Amino acid sequence: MNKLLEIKNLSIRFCRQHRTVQAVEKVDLDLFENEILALVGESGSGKTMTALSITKILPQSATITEGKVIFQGRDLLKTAERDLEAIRGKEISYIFQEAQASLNPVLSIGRQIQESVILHHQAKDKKQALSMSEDLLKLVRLPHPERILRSYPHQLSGGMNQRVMIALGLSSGPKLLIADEPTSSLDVTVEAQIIRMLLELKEQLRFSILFITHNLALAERFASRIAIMFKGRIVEAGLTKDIFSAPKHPHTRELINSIIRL
Amino acid sequence: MKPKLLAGIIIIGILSAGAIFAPLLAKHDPNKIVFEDVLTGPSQKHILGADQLGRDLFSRMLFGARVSLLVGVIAVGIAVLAGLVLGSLAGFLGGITDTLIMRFVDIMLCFPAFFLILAVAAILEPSIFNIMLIIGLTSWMGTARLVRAEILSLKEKEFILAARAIGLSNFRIILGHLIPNALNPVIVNAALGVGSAILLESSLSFLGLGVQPPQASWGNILAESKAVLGAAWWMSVCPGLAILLTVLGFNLLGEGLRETSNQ
Amino acid sequence: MILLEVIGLKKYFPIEKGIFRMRSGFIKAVDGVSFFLAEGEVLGVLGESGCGKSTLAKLILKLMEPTSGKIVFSPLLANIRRSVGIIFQDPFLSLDPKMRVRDILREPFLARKLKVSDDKIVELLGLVGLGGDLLRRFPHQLSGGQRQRVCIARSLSLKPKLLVLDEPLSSLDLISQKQILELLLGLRMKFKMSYLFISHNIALIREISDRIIVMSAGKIAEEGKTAEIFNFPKSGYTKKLLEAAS
Repeated sequence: MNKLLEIKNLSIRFCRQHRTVQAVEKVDLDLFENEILALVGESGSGKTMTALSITKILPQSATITEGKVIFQGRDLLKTAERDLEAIRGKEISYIFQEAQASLNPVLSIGRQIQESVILHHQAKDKKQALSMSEDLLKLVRLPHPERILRSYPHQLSGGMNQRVMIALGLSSGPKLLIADEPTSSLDVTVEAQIIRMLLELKEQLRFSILFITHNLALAERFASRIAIMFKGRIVEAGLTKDIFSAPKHPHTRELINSIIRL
Repeated sequence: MKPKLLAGIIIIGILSAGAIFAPLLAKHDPNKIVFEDVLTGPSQKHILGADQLGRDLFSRMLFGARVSLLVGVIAVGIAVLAGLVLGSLAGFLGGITDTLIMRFVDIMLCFPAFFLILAVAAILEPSIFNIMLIIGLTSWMGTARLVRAEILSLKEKEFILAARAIGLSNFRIILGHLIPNALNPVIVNAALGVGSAILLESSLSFLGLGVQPPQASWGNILAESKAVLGAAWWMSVCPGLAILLTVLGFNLLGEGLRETSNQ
Repeated sequence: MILLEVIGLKKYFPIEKGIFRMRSGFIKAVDGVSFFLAEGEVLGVLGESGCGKSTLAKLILKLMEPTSGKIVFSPLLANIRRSVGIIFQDPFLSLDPKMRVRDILREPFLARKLKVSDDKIVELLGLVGLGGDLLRRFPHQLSGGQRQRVCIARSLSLKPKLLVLDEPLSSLDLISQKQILELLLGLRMKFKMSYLFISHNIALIREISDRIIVMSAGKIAEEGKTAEIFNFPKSGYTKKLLEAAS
């Protein structure tokens, strides 16, 4: 297996009310091609900061103090902003927890997807963009794509909006999908459907997923490898089954013991 | 601290100190007429010169600052109080109370404020007290709207539901939870309002409907300077600069507070 | 003894459209719900977002008027504001951001014009596993778990017979979830309270409930003892939920 992404010795400092906080400290992380890696941690553990730093879309108050993010052989932290713009949303896509907030409320779904496919040069003209948009919505298993294309985000349910976000994320044929708590605000039945769909799409389209969550039980069902983050550091990483059968770090054990099983 | 906030506090601090300690700082009686000093320019004796009756301008400016700041702060106090009470009643009670109060606000806003003030000031006897009341009672509408909007969004919040669930009375909910949480924008608005109230007072005094001579106010010093504009520049420049500086100070304070509360 | 009986409860929200606010239909948030809650019992209400479970909680607390139907309270719950407490999903939203912990916990007493000492408040904090050092903190200076504990302490101050818990753990991290769950189980034993525990989390509902009602689209899809529902689910909706969670 080839390494798709390699994070080396990454540290991020965060400024809050005149205090600097070490949000991420010397994090190392590898992600292979066509793999799902879950980055698991409680709120404030630095998992989202790590994810945002990959394409340098951190908030202004945060600065990367050291480290490397090597994606397909080049260090993204040293890449010029213009070249990064070409990578963001094309080779690396993000989906976030609040899908509706990530979509533009005044544009129809169709317009937003078409813009995306035209932007990433996947479609030459409007007609082709329209047919591609329909295909994308079919890909994420949305019924009646032609009707969805005409709708606005507030007319769709949370689960449907998240599917639209996934369609948008996949429209450019990315190598890496970074999913930050993508199902945390959804119902359990919808969560199960979306997770199953992502697993199938990954096999079909061959991309890797960096799955960021606080829900260790979900990570167990979804990811082949897990990295546990605690207070800005990765305290343990390994194959999912190893983490669960022989957790080494006390925080990992505490997390596992906190899972309320059915 | 934000630089704007700091600058505002320094300007207002100096002006307030001048107003409060006016009797100590003034070397002359502001109303004492001295014929040999009529229209003398700035000198050792009169730092800012003297007016057409030979009164010391520096002393008159200091006592005038008392009037301006007092009128500004108290007028805005009246406006904020009226705005808070009416705005929170409209927002919390809703329904017909809300409609009545807000339509009244609309009506008040329809009048060109300055002419309303002029008309009322012409009918009432001109005095500092009346000026404060008039300015206060014609400038509460913005605060009322602001408070109502804040309360409308706050009352749907869960902590208000929680307060109702533990059996708190409406009165306590408004006073203990809603108003404290709606106060930030009101304070910012009030600081900006003091500046405009001071301008209004000066305009009224300039037109002779405000503070009456011989009592000094920046507005009537400016009015008196009109006749001697060519002969005594200091009589128009000093009150003009003072008004400018005060309004600037309160605006900086307001802006600074806004920036701080938005953080 | 039955603490509470809900009979044919309905809550419809009108949908108004256009400039004339014509009523174009209703959202049937709670649509004919009947159940009872016995003293000392934990009744779980399981349902997904939009099924009407939060509206149900507000109706029971009389924070909202029902469209029709009624709620019969036993004499034990005669003073509802005193004997029924509520815990909301997001503790950060249910605490006044401008108040210190101490003032938050004094409020229930002030509402009844009772004197309250700091010792009493420290004792309340102790019940939910917090120290007196938090007295002067503001909500934003607490962690999520601590905030929810403060909310629980506020409800406990009135010694309620019934606690309505509306998704009390959903906004918390995994570890705090487990800790608060254990706290709730312990407090229930200690004060002999009943819980109406509302959640979308099946594993959690199973852990805490004696009996469960499953809600879907404003109606009760299924009702029964916890073991029955999990071992022999009858309605298709319950089966679907169980399948998604395993």
